[in-house]
Amino acid sequence: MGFGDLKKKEGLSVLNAYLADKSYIEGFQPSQADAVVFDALSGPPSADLENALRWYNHINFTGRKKDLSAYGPAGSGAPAAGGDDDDDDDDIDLFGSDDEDAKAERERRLAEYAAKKAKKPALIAKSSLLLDVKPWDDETDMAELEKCVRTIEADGLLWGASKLVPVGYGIRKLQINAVIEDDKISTDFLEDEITKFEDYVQSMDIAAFNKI
Amino acid sequence: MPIFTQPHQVNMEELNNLASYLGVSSGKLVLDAKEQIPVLKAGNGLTVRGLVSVAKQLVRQSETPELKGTTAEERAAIDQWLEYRVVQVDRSLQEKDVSSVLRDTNAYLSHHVYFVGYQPTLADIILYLGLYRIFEDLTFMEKQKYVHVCRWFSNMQSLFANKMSKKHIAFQRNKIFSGTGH
Repeated sequence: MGFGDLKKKEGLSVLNAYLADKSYIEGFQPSQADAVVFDALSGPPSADLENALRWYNHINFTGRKKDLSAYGPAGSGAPAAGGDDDDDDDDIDLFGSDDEDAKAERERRLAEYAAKKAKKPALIAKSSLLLDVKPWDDETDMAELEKCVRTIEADGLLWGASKLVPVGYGIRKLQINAVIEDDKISTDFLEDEITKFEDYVQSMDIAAFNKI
Repeated sequence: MPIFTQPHQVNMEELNNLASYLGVSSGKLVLDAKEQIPVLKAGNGLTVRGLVSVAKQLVRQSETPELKGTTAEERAAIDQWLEYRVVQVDRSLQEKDVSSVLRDTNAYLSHHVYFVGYQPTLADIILYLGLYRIFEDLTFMEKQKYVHVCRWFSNMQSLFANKMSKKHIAFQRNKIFSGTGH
């Protein structure tokens, strides 16, 4: 996983390909993921990487995590430049960043957003997962399997309720809930840890993944 | 290929979907038989006619009136896209020529995430509802051609489809079809 070095052309090309069918890095709304990737770029991508540039301009306005008052006149040149290009290309876009009112409003909104973000530390992005753990056969001891899964401990991981769901031929799979902090735990990590119990676990799937 | 149902019937359904998404009652929404356009009798004697006006009225009554635009430029841009919907999109369905609509929206969305501003607005919603019928009939290969509209559409349906009781349309990025050189 990963885009590679986002300060280099290769990394940006990967990002561009990734964003061709996605509006945001993860999911359908701005999230921490967008802010993190945004900060990894050294500036706006070139115009030939159109998806990356579109995403960059969008996140620049909506998703920045950094203290925006530190972003002086040089910085506000970048979104304005993007706006001007749009005006030239496309008559329909009236939302230009040229005039006074729009600029003043934008500054006000940016300041509000920065203030909101400054209060943010209290909120941690969490997700609720439903994992399907499948055993080798119907003779596998599911109670042991569950115990093994629950021994996996990590900062930001909380196991929840579980149940056994029959899948046919007497085999039952374990469906277990977990609440994870997005920043600390990745699904790859969970998958690795669970499939380490090779004696009991044949495979693992994520049945559901919901943001809280 | 399903036969397109009469546009005015579909408009009624869309307005009801919009109303249920906004959480407002569509009240007395009827079809004017003579002119074949939707008419809303919103309380206090106000009568609103036509898809765009009714949609805006429903938004006004909802808890999210900003959907029709907060600044004058936003409102104007949204109005333009709403007009585009009625004039271009619905007409293209009548004439069975959807490629120009798809081409235009695709080009616009190549450097915009949403049609107006940086959040979904009524323009996005009405265009989503309007383009839904077009998208229902596209093959995967055709969808691949218009990458940006598909991306936007996929974004829209994750936000709105469930609340508007609309089925999700599937998109698949298939490397076999890529002729657009990503």
